[in-house]
Amino acid sequence: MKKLLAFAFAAALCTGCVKSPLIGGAYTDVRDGFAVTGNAGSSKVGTAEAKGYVGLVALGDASIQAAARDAGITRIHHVDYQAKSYVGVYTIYTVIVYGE
Amino acid sequence: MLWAAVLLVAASAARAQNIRGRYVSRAQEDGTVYHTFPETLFEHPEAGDLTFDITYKSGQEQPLATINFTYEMERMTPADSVRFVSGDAVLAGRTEKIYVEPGKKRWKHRYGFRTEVAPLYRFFDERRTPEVWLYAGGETYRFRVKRSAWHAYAPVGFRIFEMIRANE
Repeated sequence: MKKLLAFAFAAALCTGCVKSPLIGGAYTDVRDGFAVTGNAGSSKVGTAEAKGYVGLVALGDASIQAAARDAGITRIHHVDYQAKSYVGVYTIYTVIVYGE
Repeated sequence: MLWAAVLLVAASAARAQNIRGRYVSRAQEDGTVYHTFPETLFEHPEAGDLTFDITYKSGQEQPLATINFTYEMERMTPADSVRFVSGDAVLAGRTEKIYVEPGKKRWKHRYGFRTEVAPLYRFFDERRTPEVWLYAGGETYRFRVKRSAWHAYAPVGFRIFEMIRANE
C-alpha cells in the first residue's frame, strides 16, 4: 500500500499537463472545438499530434498546418482537438482539421 | 485504495470507449464525415512501417472512401499504385501524392487513393492476414501485417465500419 501511494505521489510530481478544458488526475480523454471558419463543407480530415512522456519530454508537431497538410487540405472548415492523459505520465494532444 | 479505485474506473472507461478514441465523425448537410485515426499495422524490411488512415463521407452518389498512407524510403520513391488485400477484400487504386519530404535519414512519402467503401466492411477480419502491395519507383514492395497490432486493431476497425454501415 505504501509503495502504491509512493508511486502515486511520484507520478503526481512528474505529471505533465495536457491542454484541455477538463483534466482528470488519473485519466483524461476529452475532445473540444478549437476554431470554425466561414468555408462551406468538408470531405477531408487531417490529424497531427504531439506526445509528452512523464512530464519531462514532449515531442511532435500538432499544428493546424501539419494536420491540414496531412490530408492535403487547402480550405479549412473547422478544427477540433483531442487531449488524452494517462495519470499525467503519458499525454497525447491531437489536432483534427476538417476541410477541402 | 482510493487511487486503485480511480485507476480501475479509468481503465474500465477506457475499455468501454475502445472505438471512441479511434475515429471522429462529423454530421454535415450533405452527409457525415468519418475518419479513422492513423494506424501503423504494416511493415517492410526496407520501407519500414506503413501508417494509414481512412476518411469516408456518407450520403454521396458514389460511396468512395479515401485512404491516405505514409511510408519512408532511403531515397525518393514515388508511388504509382497500391493494393490493400485482406482475403477477398481488395482496396486498390492509383495513388495521388500529398507530399514527399526528406527526414533526417529517409524520405517521408505521403500518398492517398480513393476506393469503394464496400470492401472496407469486410477488410478488418481478425482471422485474415492482410498485406499491402505498393508499386513505387518501378518496384513492388510487399508490406506484411504486424500480427499483434492486427489482432488488436481489426475488431476496432470492423466495429467502426459496422457502425458506419448501420448509419448509411
